[in-house]
Amino acid sequence: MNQLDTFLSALGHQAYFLEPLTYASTWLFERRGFAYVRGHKLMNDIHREFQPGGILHRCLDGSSVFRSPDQARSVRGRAWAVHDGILEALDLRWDKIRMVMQIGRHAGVETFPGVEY
Amino acid sequence: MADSFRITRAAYLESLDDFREFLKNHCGGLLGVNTDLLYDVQLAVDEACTNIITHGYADMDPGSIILDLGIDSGKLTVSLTDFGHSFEPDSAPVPDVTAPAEEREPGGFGLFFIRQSVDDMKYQVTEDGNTMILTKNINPHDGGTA
Repeated sequence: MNQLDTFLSALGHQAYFLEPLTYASTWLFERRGFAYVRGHKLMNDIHREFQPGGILHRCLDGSSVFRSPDQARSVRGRAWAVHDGILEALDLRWDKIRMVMQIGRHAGVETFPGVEY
Repeated sequence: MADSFRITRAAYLESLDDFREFLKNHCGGLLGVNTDLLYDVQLAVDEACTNIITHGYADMDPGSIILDLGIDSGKLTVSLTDFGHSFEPDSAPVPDVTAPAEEREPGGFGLFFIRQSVDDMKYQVTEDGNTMILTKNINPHDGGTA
């Protein structure tokens, strides 16, 4: 990613964009310094509802291998549940997330803080 | 040498408290930044962010607002960057603040309040987002602290 920043900066670009396919990759790009063009609120909503008492937390009912209760605690666990369709409980879809990297400027976004991948 | 600080939050109204608190934490107590001056900056940021939330990210799943704060000996500089729809501040209608309250149109006062609250306002649209730059001069001889 640093090499990409250097390369694009040399071409005169100030920023570049991407559309992450998964919850897990979105979280990884956050840690790299990306901010959101679309989807920051969605990521906050997902984090809030995976907290104990939240709607998504309640949906982790052990009904399948993608709905194990301990999945709320890890990025990968949440990613499996999201891509299993758990967001339907919030009437939301994993769609149209778009992120931006301002070259040389870390945005400092953290929608799932203090967690292991 | 200027100090700089950054906070990034999702563009919804619940984030306004975080921005106010961030400004208070970093500017409160600085020489020349009294309660009135801090309030002016908080008000301008409130209004600018509200515009971003209600207009910039209209019809979109909201993205981010990045607030960059620069503190120099003579001024505070706040840059607000978003990635929603841009606008042209000079083409925004100017509200009639002299009209009786019952005859005034609702809304449209955001830019007016921003311009009243800070010493300079610039707006630029670039490849890396829409950025409103607010500058508030500090007079160290005011002495008071927020």
